Amino acid sequence: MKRMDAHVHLGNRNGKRMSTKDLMDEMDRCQIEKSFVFAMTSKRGLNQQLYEDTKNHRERLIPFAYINPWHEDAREQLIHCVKDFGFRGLKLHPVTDGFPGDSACLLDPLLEVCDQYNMHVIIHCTSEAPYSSPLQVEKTAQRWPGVSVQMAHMGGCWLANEAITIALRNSNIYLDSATVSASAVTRAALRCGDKLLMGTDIPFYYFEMETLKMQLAADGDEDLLDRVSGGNMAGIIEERGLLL
Amino acid sequence: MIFDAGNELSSGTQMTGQSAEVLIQKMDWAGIAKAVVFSPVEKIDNEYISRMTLKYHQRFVGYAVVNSIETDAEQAFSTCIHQYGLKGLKLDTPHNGYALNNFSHLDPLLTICNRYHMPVMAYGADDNAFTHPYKFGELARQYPNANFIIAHMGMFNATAQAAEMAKKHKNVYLDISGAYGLAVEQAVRVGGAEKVLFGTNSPFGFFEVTKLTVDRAVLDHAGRRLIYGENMERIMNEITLQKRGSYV
Repeated sequence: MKRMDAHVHLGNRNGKRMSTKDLMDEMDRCQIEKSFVFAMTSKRGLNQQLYEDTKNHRERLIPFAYINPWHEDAREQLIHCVKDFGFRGLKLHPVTDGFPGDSACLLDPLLEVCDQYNMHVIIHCTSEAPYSSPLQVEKTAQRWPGVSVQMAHMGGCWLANEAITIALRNSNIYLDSATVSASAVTRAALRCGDKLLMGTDIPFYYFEMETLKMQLAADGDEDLLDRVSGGNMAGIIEERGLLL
Repeated sequence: MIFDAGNELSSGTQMTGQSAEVLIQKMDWAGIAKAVVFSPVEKIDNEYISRMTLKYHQRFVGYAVVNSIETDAEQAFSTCIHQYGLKGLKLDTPHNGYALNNFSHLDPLLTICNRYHMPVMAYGADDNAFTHPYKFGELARQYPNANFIIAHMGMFNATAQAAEMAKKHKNVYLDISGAYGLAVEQAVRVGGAEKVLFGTNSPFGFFEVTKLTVDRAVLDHAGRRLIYGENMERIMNEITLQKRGSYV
C-alpha cells in the first residue's frame, strides 16, 4: 500500500523549525510516500521558502502556493509560483485571511489560473461563519468545474455531513480528513470512499493518528483503506499531472 | 396596510419580553395593522401565542416555535397547527445546536410545512455555522411548497448571498429585521421587491426604524406596498391548512 497525505504544512512545530528532513523522516517512519505540502500561512516570502525546501524532493513533496486573495498582486504571485517554481496547486484559507469561501471577485482571478494550468486547489473548509462552510466552497467549485477542489477539514466540527453530501454531488470536489473526528471520517469513507483523502495537518498532528483514523474508518475493507490512504490522492496526482 | 413578518411575544417577565397588549400599543403608535408573532426560543409558550392570536385575531398571526431535537417535536408542531391555529414554523437552529439543512432533525416538521404550503421563518444571520443563506436554498429545493423566510437576511456579511437565494428560489423570502439600509436596497435590486418582507423583530427592533429603512431604501410605491404587506398577505393566502377559519 502506498500511503499519501494531502494536508501537510512545512513550518514550525511548537516553536521549533521542522526541516524538510524532519518531515521526510516522519513520512518514512509512517510509510507515507508523497505529501501535498504548503507553508504555514499566506505570508509573503513563504512560497519562495517552500520552493527552496522542496526543490530537491519533488518526487515526494508536492508544493502548493499559499496565496492571500486580498493581496493586490495575488494573481501575479500565483503565476510566479506556477511558472518559476513549478507549483501545481493552490492553498486558500478563508478564515485566517478573512474572505468568504464563495467570493467570486476575490477567488476567480486565481481559479482562472488554476483552470488554465489544470491545478488542484485546497480550500480550508470548516464551520466558521461567515467565511467558511461546505456550501460556500461548493459555490466556488461549481464555477470552475475543470479545477479539482479539496475541502480541507471537510466542514470541521459541525458540517461534515454537509461536506459529504456536496462531495457526492460534485465530481470535482474531494474531502480531506485533517482534524476531523473519526466518526465523521468513517461516514465519509463509507459514503464517498473515492472522494476522501487522508490529511494529517502536520505539524499540528502526527501521521500515526491519521493512519489510525483511516484504518478505523475502513474497518477491515482493504480496498477502501487503499483508496482513502493514498489511492485517491494518487489519482488526482496522475489526472492533474502534479508531479513534474 | 403594514403587515410585519416577525415579532416575539411573551407572557413572562424576562427583561426583553413584551406582552400582546404592549405589542398592540406599539403597533398602533406606528400604524402597523398586523404582525406575525411567536415565542422567544428561550421560553417557548405556543399555547400563549395561540390564545393571543385568538383574542386579537385581526392583529396577530401566530407561528409555532419548535425544537426539532425534542422527541415529541412532530406531535408538538401538529398540535400547534391543528389545535392552536398557528400558521407557520419559527426555527432558531443555532440556539438548539444543529444546522438548518440537517434533514434528519427537521424533515418531519418541514414535511408538514410542505404539505400545507406553510411559511417557515428561520434565524438567518451569519454569526454561526448553522444558518448560512445557502442552507435556505437547500431547504427550498427539498420542500418546494413551503415558503422559507431568512430572518435578518444574512446580516452582516452574507446579505448578498441571501439576496441571491431569494432571486434563485421562488420560495425564499428575505426578512429585513436588523438589516442595514444598503442591504435592503441590494435585496430589492437582486431579489426583487416581491421577495422582501417588512420585519421588525420587536421588542428588539422598533417599527418606526423599519419603516424609515424601507422608505429610504425603496423609492417606488409599488415596491414599498409589496414589502409593507402584500408579500406577507400572499404568503398567508398560500397556506392550504383549513383550521380555525382563514389565516386571520
